[in-house]
Amino acid sequence: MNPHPGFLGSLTSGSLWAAAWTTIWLAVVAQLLGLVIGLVMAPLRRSRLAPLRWVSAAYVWFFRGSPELLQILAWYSVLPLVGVDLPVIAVGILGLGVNEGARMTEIVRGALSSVDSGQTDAARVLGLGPWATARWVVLPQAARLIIGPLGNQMNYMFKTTSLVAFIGIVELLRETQQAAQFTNAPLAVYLATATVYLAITSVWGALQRFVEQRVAAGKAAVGPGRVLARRRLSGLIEIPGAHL
Amino acid sequence: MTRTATRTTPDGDFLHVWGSKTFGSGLRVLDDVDLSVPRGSVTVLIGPSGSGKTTLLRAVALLAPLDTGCVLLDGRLHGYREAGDGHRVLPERELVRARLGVGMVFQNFNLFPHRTALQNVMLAPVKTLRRPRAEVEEEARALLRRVGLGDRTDNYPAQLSGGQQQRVAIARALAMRPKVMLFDEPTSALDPEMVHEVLGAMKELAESGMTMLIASHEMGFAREVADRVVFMDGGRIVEQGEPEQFFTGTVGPRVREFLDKIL
Repeated sequence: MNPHPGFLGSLTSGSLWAAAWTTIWLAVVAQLLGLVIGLVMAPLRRSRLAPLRWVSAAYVWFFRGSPELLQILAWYSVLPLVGVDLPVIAVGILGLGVNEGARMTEIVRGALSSVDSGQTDAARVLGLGPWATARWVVLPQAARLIIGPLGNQMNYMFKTTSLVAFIGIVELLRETQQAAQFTNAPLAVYLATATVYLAITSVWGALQRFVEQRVAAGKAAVGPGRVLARRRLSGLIEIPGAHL
Repeated sequence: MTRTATRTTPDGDFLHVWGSKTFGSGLRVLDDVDLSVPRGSVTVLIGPSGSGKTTLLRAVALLAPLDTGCVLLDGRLHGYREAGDGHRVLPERELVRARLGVGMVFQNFNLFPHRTALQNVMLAPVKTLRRPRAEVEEEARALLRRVGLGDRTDNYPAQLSGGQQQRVAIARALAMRPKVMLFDEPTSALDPEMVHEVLGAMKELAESGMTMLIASHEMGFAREVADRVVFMDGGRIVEQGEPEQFFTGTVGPRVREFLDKIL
């Protein structure tokens, strides 16, 4: 057994930060996949075609109603059986993203339905078709309502990525387990890892507050200063339709 | 003025809507209505809430098409096709283009809150008519000046009063160069001191020769500007005539009762 590296030794270990980087990009990519799925599945739920509504409802029912770890393990063992041979990291992204998509679907659906129906009436009378109405009228307004919950989901996702340790992806948790095996002072290793997770979620939290304040400022829009703040934000997070 | 000229020489059926509509609940919201609006004329719809005024306007705007019947605009079927011995509404895909001839102003303005006044006016001409942006912008600025908001082009709706928002909504509808303008209780959501500025813009529009169909209880406005007043109740057109008729008392008892309540 090696002499234990101690808390600071663990915290400055290169392999820990490499694993942290894996956790971060895995979480971001999986969350983006979830967002994209949500943006597709939520409108389906409002489709005039009943089968499309059913597909969306069944998807949410299934993936929100069963354990995430089970889903990840299932992807891992089922995909090779049906002849799909993906790198394990891709399986991890798929497992996390498809599960997240169910929650994002519900979030996007809530945001879409809170845009007043008068908005779509006005758009339709002006000759905007369904796509143009979504692109220029409904989505920009829904986007403001999605940003807050999306930020929270991202926070959860940084931690949920630890589940892919079970299929052998070396992210923070897996790296920690491995490091802890070779020391007689696992507590220092775990504390170092907890510190890294906290650092990630804290930085994210600060970013989230910054963006949310800007969105709130744009929404209040009571003076010229506010308008400018809103315009800067539009550039920053690309609210669709902020520019003509 | 143009107004007087069109008043004396209306050319019949510029806008003609007739038919019925039943809601899913079985409520007959439009019961065999038949309404003609001559070119360049102003028609004011009055009647108690639930009488079908809004539904009639939404039918003409093709937001909630009739079950039976049809809309004719400028001598053509508007959003309908011949089907057997009657008419059938076009599928939604084709309604998108069909809606272009009619402009509508709503009780709650329904401006797009994430766009400035100017952007509200410019959106549809740029995105649906695909007209050049510079040309549209010039026209949009002119329309906003016309409704008295030339200095408010860069304000967001939340920065405007109700009366100003409604005038932006009028400019936005006009930017699509409609043949007919519909107004659904355009002043009902306004504070009293802002009503006149919206009515002023509507009066100016009427004087320019626009064909207008207005659901409103502003009887002073109706008396001054309208060519016809139509009274609806229970989904039916109960009575119609010149505004003076409605003030001099030569109307039926239901109309009398209603007018006594609102005047």
